Formats: sequence, C-alpha cells, structure tokens
Amino acid sequence: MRTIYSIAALNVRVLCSDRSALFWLLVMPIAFTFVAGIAFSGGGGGDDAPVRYALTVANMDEGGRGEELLEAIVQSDEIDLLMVEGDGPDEEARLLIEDGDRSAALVIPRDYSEKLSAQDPVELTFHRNPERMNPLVTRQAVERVIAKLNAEELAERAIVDAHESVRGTPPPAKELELAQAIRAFVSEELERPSMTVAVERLGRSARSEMPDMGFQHSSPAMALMFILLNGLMLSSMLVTERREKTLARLLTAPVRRSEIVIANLAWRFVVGTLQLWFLIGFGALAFGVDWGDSMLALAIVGGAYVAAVAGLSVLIGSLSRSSRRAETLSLVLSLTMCALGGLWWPLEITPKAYQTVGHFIPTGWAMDAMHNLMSRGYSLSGAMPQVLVLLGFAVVFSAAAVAAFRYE
Amino acid sequence: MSVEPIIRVRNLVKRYGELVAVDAVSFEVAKGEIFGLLGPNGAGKTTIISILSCITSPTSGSASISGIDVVTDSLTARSRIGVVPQEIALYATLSARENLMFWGRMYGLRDRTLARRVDELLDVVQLSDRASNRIDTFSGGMKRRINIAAGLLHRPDVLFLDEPTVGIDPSTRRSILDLVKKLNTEGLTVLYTTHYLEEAEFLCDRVGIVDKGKMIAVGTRDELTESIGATGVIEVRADGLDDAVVDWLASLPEISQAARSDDGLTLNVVRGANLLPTVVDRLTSSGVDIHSVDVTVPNLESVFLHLTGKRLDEENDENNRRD
Ligand SMILES: Nc1ncnc2c1ncn2[C@@H]1O[C@H](COP(=O)(O)OP(=O)(O)OP(=O)(O)O)[C@@H](O)[C@H]1O
Ligand SMILES: [Mg+2]
Repeated sequence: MRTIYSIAALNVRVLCSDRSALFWLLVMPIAFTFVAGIAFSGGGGGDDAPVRYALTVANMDEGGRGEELLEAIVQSDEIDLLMVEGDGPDEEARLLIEDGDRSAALVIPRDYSEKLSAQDPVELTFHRNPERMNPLVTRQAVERVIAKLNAEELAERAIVDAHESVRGTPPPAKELELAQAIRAFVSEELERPSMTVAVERLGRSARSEMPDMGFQHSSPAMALMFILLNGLMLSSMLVTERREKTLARLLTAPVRRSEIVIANLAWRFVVGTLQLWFLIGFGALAFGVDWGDSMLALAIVGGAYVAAVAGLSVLIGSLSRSSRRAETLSLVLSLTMCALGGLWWPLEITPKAYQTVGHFIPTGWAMDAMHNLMSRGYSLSGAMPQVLVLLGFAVVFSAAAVAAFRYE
Repeated sequence: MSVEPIIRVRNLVKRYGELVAVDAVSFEVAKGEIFGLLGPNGAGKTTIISILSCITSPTSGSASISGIDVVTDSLTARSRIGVVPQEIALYATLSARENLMFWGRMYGLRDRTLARRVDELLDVVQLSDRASNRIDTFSGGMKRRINIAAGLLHRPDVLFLDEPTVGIDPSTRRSILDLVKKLNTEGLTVLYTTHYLEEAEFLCDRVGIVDKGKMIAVGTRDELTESIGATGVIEVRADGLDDAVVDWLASLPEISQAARSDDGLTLNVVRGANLLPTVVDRLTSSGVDIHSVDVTVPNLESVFLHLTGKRLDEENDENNRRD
C-alpha cells in the first residue's frame, strides 16, 4: 500500500514539474467553459419587463363583435396585434405563417358577428408555426379571452332562454335589463376571480437563482472533455517511463508488478478526480452552475467516469511505442469521443444513429448522467444505469490495460 | 561446508525468438569479489544482468543471489541486490534528492533512515551541493553518479553495474572506478559489465569473457592470459597493411593469432624471442609503412583475440557503426 502510494505520489510530482501540464489541467478547461458558456447563453435581455408576444390578425368580420374580441385580447396586456389589411387578409395571414415570416395568426371569419347574434356556433382559425414557442402563448391568451366572452354571453343568454322556455314569450325589457346586469357582473367577477391557484416554486431551481443555461451545459461538458483529454494525454508519461527505463528499474526493486500497475491506474484516477472537483467548484462559484441536489451522486458519476478514463489512459500508454503516438492517439480518441458523446452539442439534436453511436462510448453516458442530475433533477438512482455502464467501461479498460502493461 | 557463492548462475539461456542472447552461461561470484563481464556490444551482458535482477525471466537455467532463486523468490532476491542500469534510469525533471528519496522508498526505507542514507550517498558520490538541482541540469558524469547512488541506498549485498562509464570523460570515469574499488574494500560484492578491457583489468578480481551469448572464458587476469599460452604480444601501428601479409604472419608457427585493427596489427606470440626482426622485415618488404612497434606481455585483449580471432575494440567499433 505504501509502495503504491509512493509510486503514485512520485508520478503526480513528475506531472507537477511540468508547468504546461498544470495549465492544461486547470486553466484551459475554465477558458473553454467560459467561451462555450457565453456561446450557449440565451443572450440579450436582462430587463425584467414582462415579455409581450405578437399575434398576426386578419379580421374579416362584417359586424362589430370581431373588434370587441380584439379589444379584449389587447387588454389582456400580453399580446401585440399585427393587423393584416387588404382584400383576402385571411389568405395573406396564412402565407405569412407558411413562409415562416410570422409565428401565429388569428383569422376572424366574415360571419362572426352574424353567427354570434343568431347564437350559432362560430369557428375562429388559428394558424401556427410548429417550430416556434410564441404560438403556444398567444393561443392560450386568445382562448382565455374567448372563454371569458363565452361565459359572459352564456350568463346573459341563460336569463333570456329561461324566460322563453318557462313563459313561452320573449322576455320584456325589464328582464333584458336584468340579463345585461348579470352579464356585467360575470364580466367583472371574472376579472378578479374568487378562486385562484397560487403557484409556489419549490425544489432547487427555486432555491438558487435561475442558472444561466449556457454554463449549465458548458461546465459539465467542458469538465468531461478536459478530464478525458488530459487524462488520455497522461498516457505518454507511461511511454516516457519505459523509454527512460525507470519502469524497468522499478522491477529490480522489491516491488510487485501489481503494485506498479495499480499505482499507475490510481494516480491517474486521483488527478482526474482532483481536476473534476476543481472544475465543479469553479463552475459553482464563478459561473453559478447548479450541479444538482446530491454531491454524492455527482461524486459517484464523476468517479466512474474518471476511472474509465484512467483505465483507457494506461491502456493507450501500454500499447503506444512512442510518446508522440500516445499523444496523437489520445488527441484523436478524446476529440472524437467528445463530439460523439454530446459534449459539444446535445445528442438530442442529432440523428438516431448518432445517438446510438454516442452510447457506445463513455462520454455519451457521462453526459446523460450529468444532465439527469443537473437539469432533470434526478437523484442518484436516476443516474444509476449510466453509472453502471461507466463502471463497466472502467473495468474493461483497466483489465485490458493490466493485460497490455509492459515494462520495457 | 563450502562457502555459498553470493551469485550462482547455472546454464542460463535466454532466447528472443531465433536469437540466443544468452547461451548456457554459468559462473559464480564469491562474497567480496569484483567480477567482470567483459564482452563486445550485443554479447549478452545486459541480458544476464536483467535476468539476475529479475527484469527478464530466463528461457532455461537458474540463477540465485545468496542462495535465493531469482525466479521463484524474486521479491526476496531483489531486496538483496542493488542494480545500476546501463541507462540513466532517473526522473529527469525531479531533483537528485527527490530521485534518491523515491528509490530508497522502493526498497522500504522510510523517514529518518531514508533521509540519512540519501545524505550519505550524496556525499559518497560528491553531489551534496547539487542535491536540489534537477537531474536534467546535470552533466553526463553527474547523472551516472546519481544513477549509482540510487542502487546503493538499501545497502545491498551485491551491486550490479552495467557499463557505468559509457559516454563520460576520462576523469569522471576514473572517479567512478575509484568509487567502485572503495565500495568493494568496504565489503560490497560487485558484478561489473564493460567492453573496455582496461576497466576489467584495473577493477576485477575475476573476469568472464562473453561473446555472442556464450561465456568463453572465466578466471583471474593471470589465469586467462596464461591459458592462451602466449608469452608476448607484438602491437604494430602501420599504414598499407593488406590481408596477404597478415595471413602470412599468422601462418608462422611462433604466432598463434594475428588480427588487424583500424590503425595496425596485433600478434600473439607463442615463443621465439627473435621474432621481431622477421616481422618488421616482412612488413617493410611488402611496402607497409610502420609507425611504431610495441612488445608487451599478454593482456585480456590477447585472450579475446586468442579465443575469437577478433580484437575486442574492433568488435565494438563494428557494432557501434551498426547502431
Ligand atoms: N528485448 C529484446 N528483444 C529482442 N532481442 C533482444 C532484447 N534484448 C536484447 N536483445 C538482443 O540480445 C542480444 C544481447 O543484448 P544485450 O543488451 O544483452 O548485449 P550487451 O552485451 O549488453 O551489449 P551492449 O554492450 O551494447 O550493452 C543482442 O543481440 C540484442 O539485440
Ligand atoms: Mg548492455
């Protein structure tokens, strides 16, 4: 145990004697996290004024009720109306949406007022572009207004209809006045409803300030990337040890071969773990990153990933004949795994086949696990499948490294 | 009961595929001896040391250190030996002290004992003042000295030195040879490989001559030189030698071997005190331009010449050219 510790400590010491290595381990990841974080941030904004959405409207109504509807929509204070004029405004509005120039449009038909007066069902048309968020909000607002208008309408009509069906005659002026009053009452009451739902935000996103989505992705992604990149690059130190014959010299001392191999895996694991927690700490303090509810879960996911990287690093070091080759192989492998594993762009936006490939390599699983813990709010059990797969990678890589380990 | 030899090697064989790097080598080294393995490049010296120091396992045969088998009980065997590899096997970016501290730990030294031993050895190799400098700032000779110190920290019974003077200047070389002699007088047994016969003659109590994986002769310097039956050696430095004249000289009954070197000719003389005029006559008459002629007593070079028909340095040169 002491021997393993001594060999591991020596290697860390050798690593630290190389200033540029420390730069790559600690400074570069932060720089990349920063740049990628800025790139992925929402951008702009900053002021807290409520967001207003635009709704394109083609009002073809020949009566006045259409205007009333639009008035009510504007008063809801969330929506700006963009009116389409000219002949055939309905066709014009359709084209605007179809071509992607606007995201949502409301078409009020010619017979809107007429049908309302005749108490016939009326159909409004809502065009939407499915790629935009905007229509969801505008449609909700329109439906809210319509529901309110329906309720008012219903209140008035209830009195009139009830009179007719009970007495068999149209209601006199006095009754109609009453109906108007009830309508006004309903309209007013709906403005300040007696029953509301109070929404209270709980859980971690309520506790911390809303994190910046850019860093929320770039911090774990760049941490995983540099742990992989730096970790694999450490493979060349094993080649150097063989070339300089220090590894063979170790064999002449009373040291077991297993101790040498374990020490080589162990110190890479330690360096990767230190790097991980440095980047986690820095991300939390400097970029306000929310790393999820459970430090333990984060430690287990990170540990499994770092172990896989350490095993692969020793494997590459054992298979490479020169430091140059080890470094080239490490660079190619780690950059490929970053791209395929969703560290540079989310796997969710890639084709199915791409996502499948991403799950043949540790990075894909590690990124998944990070997202589960950080964004989806899962606990450790939610990231367990990924942890098991990562541990599997660690075992396979380490076993291969032990088998391939050479001293000369 | 006879005294157990500290190193015992029996019928050691190491094959690398077709190549037989070590071919049925046997020898013993007694406690307190300096034993030399003398041979040209590629003779198999490092391979023998590698097997003895448990880096490589033998194809067949056995080797033991103080009666401990290097294959079956390698961990114990390794704690008894100190190994100074042919290469500077040190961590170049760490200081001399850090290196020695590390190698000491590998032999189980800790804390105070470790620090004391490191100081002692820095003193022995006269590098105390450079202890905290990085190895890669050292000269070749300084690196060699730290390389040796790293093999001595745990006070081994026996020290293996594999060509420790390669590539360093004569004065440093001399100081390393003196150091080895001094350590030996303090009781250390030494196994020393070299392809410089002067080193073997200066240092070693007994020498094993190795060529192409085979141990072709073992003994003290005197035993070896007597064994070849030569009474003298004629060394000629000359230009314009050709094979015909060398062959003619070799065919003389008084001459047992004749071999060319870069700048002349070496003749092992079996008998006949008045051979010199004959040789000089023959050389001048065939147009050879003689610069100098030396008559000496036989040395290890003569032994190597006798056994292989080649000069040791000629072998080395050939191999060096091949490298
Ligand atoms: N690992 C190896 N694989 C294949 N061949 C090897 C290996 N190690 C040594 N050899 C071969 O074994 C032979 C003996 O090599 P060795 O290094 O023991 O010679 P040496 O006497 O130490 O030479 P030198 O004076 O150059 O150090 C050489 O032909 C060498 O090429
Ligand atoms: Mg050698």
